[in-house]
Amino acid sequence: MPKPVAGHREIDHTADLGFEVWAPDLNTLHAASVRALAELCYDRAAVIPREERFLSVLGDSHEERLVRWLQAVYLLLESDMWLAEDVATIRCCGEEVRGRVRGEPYDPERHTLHTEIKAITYHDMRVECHDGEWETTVIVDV
Amino acid sequence: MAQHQQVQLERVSEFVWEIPRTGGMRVPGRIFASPQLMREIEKDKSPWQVANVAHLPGIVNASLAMPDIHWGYGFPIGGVAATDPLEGGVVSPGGVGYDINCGVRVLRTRLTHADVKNRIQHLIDALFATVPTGIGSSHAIKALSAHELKRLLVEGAEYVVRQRGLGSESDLMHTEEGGRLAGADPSVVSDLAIKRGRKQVGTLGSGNHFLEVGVADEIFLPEVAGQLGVELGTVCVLIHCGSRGFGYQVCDDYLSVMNRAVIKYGIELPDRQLCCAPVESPEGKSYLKAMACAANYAWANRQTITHLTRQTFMEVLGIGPSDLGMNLIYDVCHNIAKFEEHDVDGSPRRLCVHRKGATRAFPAGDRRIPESLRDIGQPVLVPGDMGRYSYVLIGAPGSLTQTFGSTCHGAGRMMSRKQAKRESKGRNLLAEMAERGVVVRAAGMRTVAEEMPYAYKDVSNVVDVMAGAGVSDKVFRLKPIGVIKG
Repeated sequence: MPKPVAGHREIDHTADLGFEVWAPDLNTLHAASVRALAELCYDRAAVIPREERFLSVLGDSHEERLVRWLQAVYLLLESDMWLAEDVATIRCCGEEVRGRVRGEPYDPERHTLHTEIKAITYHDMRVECHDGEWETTVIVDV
Repeated sequence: MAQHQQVQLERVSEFVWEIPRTGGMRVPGRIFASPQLMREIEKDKSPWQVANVAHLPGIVNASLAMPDIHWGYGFPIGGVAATDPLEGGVVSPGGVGYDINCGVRVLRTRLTHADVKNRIQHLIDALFATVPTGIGSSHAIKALSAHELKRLLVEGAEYVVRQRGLGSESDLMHTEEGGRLAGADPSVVSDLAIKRGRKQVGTLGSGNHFLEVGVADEIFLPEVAGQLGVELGTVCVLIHCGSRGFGYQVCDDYLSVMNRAVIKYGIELPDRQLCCAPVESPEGKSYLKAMACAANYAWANRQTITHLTRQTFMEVLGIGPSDLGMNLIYDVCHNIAKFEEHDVDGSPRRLCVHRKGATRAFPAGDRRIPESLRDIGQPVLVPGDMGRYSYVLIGAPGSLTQTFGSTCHGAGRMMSRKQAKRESKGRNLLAEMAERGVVVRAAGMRTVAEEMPYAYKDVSNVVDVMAGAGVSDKVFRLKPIGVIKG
């Protein structure tokens, strides 16, 4: 059986926004989640990955670590107006997720911003592995 | 993950449906709605969430829901729950929401539609340039030092009025709690929340937040409207926003604290998103202190935007403050937990009232509303959508007997954001709004697509339920003529 490919898709939610993510391993799931979040917040295709930022988060569970990882990526946007395009390196090890994200500072001439996010929520979130494929659903409060 | 179950709903009066106590429910659930709204409500998980809230330790009377109820994080949006601290009652961040003290204020002016209709594009352009909107919006005023921010967190709107000159004592008098919630303590707030808060005072954000210029196009209670300084054609301003990144971070920080507290205190919950702690526990007390900081941040935020709005109107129209006469009618929060005294079975009890997507609506005569409003009751501001109308209501006596002094807060969405975006493909949304007589400026067109009128229920159906139930009465309706959004 071929190894599952990582991916994501936006899902319907009445008041908020959300996406499903799937990947062959936990590291790739976290990387795919960054791409999904970026596409909700801005036009990711217009972001040139010419800089890197290091991020590290701790959490007691897969869910807590994923929420905090995505929050850390989002705070690059809110606090520094720095747009992540993808993940360069990532390692989920024990209670820590650490990695480097690629992207660049916001340029109003080239970048289109979409919606501000209040929070990455735990709503119905379960980071699980079924038959070798990791998957989760992320609902963001807007 | 919590299991979503169908709940039994029994119509017990013209506007009330009850969810009878079953299993671990400590009280029944009670939803205010019309048959038409109930058909919509039953389509999502919110009745199940009303039943879940009824499991909370110390909950009093009933888990309540207003007619604009829809799915929320743990608690439904549009939910009201009062807990008694003396009976082990809990406080839950999910009962307040991420955007602590998200709320609305409405300002009246001495202007009529005729005074602004030829300048509305210029006015909206100037407001859009002055009030920061959208992702990362910041620096409406100079970034505060950590020391200044901590003072603002304690003093709320008082800080920006008395220390920065961004408003008047009358503004404070017409703000719920005087714009300063007691008990705020910045020492229980994280450094990250402080960092996120320093640059964002005076900013709108995005999502469903907005600044709207509207005209009173229908008056239901002329005497009350007159006392509020409004007649047919009066130009008003609505400001809807909250505590920005500061409040979101406070909520996030305390969800982790409360998840641990649930285990520590052995609290059994049907949904872990209802995580909570006893009001009298160290965790509960800390959350309430931090939440008060965020509530105060939100009032300072709306007050600062009010100042920027007044300045902009005067500059664009070339008039002074007395000709403008932009006075605050009232400012209400619709995401909050507050201690209030309520009559329960004939005895006064001090309760922790959670309002998540619900608005306080005290009736005439209540000593907790300002003296200048006491003979008419507390104004309640209920935004609709940016194309149709919004309502100003007044609290009625039924609020104290049925809803712990609470009423609805908005229209509620009918269409998901994704579906609304699909609907907008190939359409010129700004031109469509202009055809309706509404000038729109927005930081992002995706937000405009998500917030188009067709994505929302008709708010008049919502306010009519609360009027029919004797909880709040309609005073006047506002038709938007210009909107800025994130």
